Amino acid sequence: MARRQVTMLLLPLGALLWATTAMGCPFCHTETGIAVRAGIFDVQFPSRLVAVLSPFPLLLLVVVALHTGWTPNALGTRIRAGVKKCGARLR
Amino acid sequence: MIASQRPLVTAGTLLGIGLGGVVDGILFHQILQLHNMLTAIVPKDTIVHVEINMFWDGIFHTITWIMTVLGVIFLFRAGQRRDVVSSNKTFVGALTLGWGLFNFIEGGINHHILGLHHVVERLGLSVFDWLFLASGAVLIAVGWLAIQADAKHHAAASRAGNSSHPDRIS
Repeated sequence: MARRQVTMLLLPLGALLWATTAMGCPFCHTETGIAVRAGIFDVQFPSRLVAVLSPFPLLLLVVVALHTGWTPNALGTRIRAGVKKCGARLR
Repeated sequence: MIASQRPLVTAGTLLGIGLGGVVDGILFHQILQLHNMLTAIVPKDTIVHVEINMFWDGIFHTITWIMTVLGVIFLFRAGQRRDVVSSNKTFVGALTLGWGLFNFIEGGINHHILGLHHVVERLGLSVFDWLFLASGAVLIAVGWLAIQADAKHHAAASRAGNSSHPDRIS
């Protein structure tokens, strides 16, 4: 009797572990896993990778600008100095 | 910004970008589940599509994690230098600046230009995307003003203490 109860308890647990949704990881050898893998590593993979990561080069560029002193103030000072120089040459 | 602030600003900005990305991922992708990385082109209507989006979320958040680690490395190095100002205001300002940069640039490119996803995917490009962009602009302004205010404070203090201090406003 106790053995039957244990089996009845374990059966849903087994079903939960082996359910398709629980085995849908990109590297799982299941129907869902194969579909997920196909959806990720398709012909659009390189373009999607570039699109997803596209904000980071710009963010890093801003960080490099801050680190090296190319701040808006410094840029403004350099532009003003350039304009003055050009003005002096014209005169 | 004065020269002695720069290492701390770099570290804080990197940490702000990384942590801003983490906030975006936890709040919008996981808790509220309003969108995932590619929901405008791969809608979350099947388990396969949910998992494809989850994969691209992971790729995006790997980079935000790398940004955070870089921030920690830069912060550690800045902490070892005697010529770097140790200022809460500069650091919090840089964190705010970084978070703002993340919202503004990620929002601008991914939401508005490329249209990979939107804040509330059900609505498409909506007022919430413009609010996300505006939050970025406000955070950038607040962070930058805090850094600049602290720069003036430190420049004045160094002028009063030592007229030949290397700090210069740039």
